[in-house]
Amino acid sequence: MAQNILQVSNINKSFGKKSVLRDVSLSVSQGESLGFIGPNGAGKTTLIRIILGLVRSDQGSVIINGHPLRGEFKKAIGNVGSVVETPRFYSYLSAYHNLQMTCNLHPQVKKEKIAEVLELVGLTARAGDKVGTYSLGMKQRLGLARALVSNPTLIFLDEPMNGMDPQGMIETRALILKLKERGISFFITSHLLSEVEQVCDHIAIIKTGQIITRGSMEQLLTRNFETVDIYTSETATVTSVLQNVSFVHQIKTGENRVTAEIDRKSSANLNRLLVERKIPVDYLVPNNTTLEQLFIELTGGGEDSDGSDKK
Amino acid sequence: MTGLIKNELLKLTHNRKTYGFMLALLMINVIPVLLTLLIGIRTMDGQSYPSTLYGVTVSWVLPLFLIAIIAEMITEEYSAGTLSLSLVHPVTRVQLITAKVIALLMLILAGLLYALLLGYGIGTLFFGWGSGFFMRGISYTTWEGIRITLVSYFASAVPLLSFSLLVMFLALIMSSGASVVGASAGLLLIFTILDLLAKEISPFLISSYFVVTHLVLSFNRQEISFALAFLLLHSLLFYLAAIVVLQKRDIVN
Repeated sequence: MAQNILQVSNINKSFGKKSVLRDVSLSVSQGESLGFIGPNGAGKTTLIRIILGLVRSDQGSVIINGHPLRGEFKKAIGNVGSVVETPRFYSYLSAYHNLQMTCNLHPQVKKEKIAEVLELVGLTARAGDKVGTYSLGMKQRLGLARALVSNPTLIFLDEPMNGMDPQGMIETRALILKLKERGISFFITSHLLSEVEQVCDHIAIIKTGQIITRGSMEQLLTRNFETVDIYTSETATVTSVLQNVSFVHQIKTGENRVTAEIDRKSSANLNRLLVERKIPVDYLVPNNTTLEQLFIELTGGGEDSDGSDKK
Repeated sequence: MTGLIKNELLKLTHNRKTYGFMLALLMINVIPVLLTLLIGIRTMDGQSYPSTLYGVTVSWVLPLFLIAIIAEMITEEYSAGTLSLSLVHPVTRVQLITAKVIALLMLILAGLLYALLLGYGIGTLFFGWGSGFFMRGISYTTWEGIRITLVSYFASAVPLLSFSLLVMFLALIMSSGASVVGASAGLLLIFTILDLLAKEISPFLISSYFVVTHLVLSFNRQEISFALAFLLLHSLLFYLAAIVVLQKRDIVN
């Protein structure tokens, strides 16, 4: 089993009388990318701030790279990179100077690393420009560069695709996957669930300050049944044929379409049955569960009222 | 720690306020020259010029500049979310505060040096070097004059740093840069008025130590010891208070 890079145990946090996080536990192992998702105000950013030592938890512990945050803060945080919320910079300084400031806090990191990370995120040509002149997408890329300067083993990215154009999103996704291959672990929060689905291999969903589900993406998105959309002009015939079939559990009829919930790996049987009954079918479309569907199912969508990311 | 100090200095050297301060000081140096040229009576010379402007420089120009810089360094950085940038790296909050204090001391020393050189430069340029150093009706040799001027300027770094620590504490407990500037400038004004009106409480007002010429001239050991003890306690109190406030604070921006 891979070594845990991050271990968060039983974190509780209240701001005044408002309980923001309740008994939150999760872990990230080496090379894993955890998608940490939840409605607005669920407590995502607060948890990241606790893990980074910016906010103190009322209870619980955080261990990073084997070092407890309380007691061995410098060792724990030494190999962590982060972009929390919208990346913040000294707008009157150049991108290079902003990265140099991070570099200055890690004496073991050589200055050449700055040029390397700027190249990696495609900002070499604009390195000398003041960050105040950057677009949000460029700031996001610069934030990622800053997170990479310290040679991290774990990177926190809070809404990393926010403000990026489609090309930027593709490039960032590819970069994250490339870094993941090098063994860097990621802790990513995003409202773009399709991006999380493409980049992360594990997810944890938080609602009103509590983790309501966590596990591998594959495990959570795999169901005991499959959903298949049958596009046909003879919806009535299809419905009547499928009503008495053992592997079909549920049927919904729409205009020129029947949606059937069937046993896993039964789509071939369904196809065969429709052919045998000589029912004209235009398309058979398997309908996989997406992270978005799972998220809506588990959280009901919307915003949380009793958790809070904004104080 | 060295890295944190480098960062603070990098920010200060790229900050517009630093250049605004330099410009303001230049103008303050030029105004007496213009007035002299207008009136046509030459009463100053190059070697006395820095000490003529010493009072206004260390009592008002530098303190006000420091208030503006500290408000930005702490309160505005907190609200802009940049204060947290250093804290997510292997540095402690005590180190962050200490680095800011050291950077402020360096800034004060650089500011005093700049004011001193500007005074000598502009004074000599417009009035000539002069034959001797005059202060409070007493004539000193050139070398004595330079020593008095240098010691006075650089000794002011101690009370100015102590005042900076008070402002730093205010910056940590207040939520907006404007409030910090208003409160600190208000305090500075109140201290100055109290210093003028109630001499008996002067030894307990930080602003009464900004100008140290009388201590340099008299070299009264008792007075100097009291001043140093007061400044040390004042500095220690607000340095520790600033650390306690930052240690307890949740950084949510």
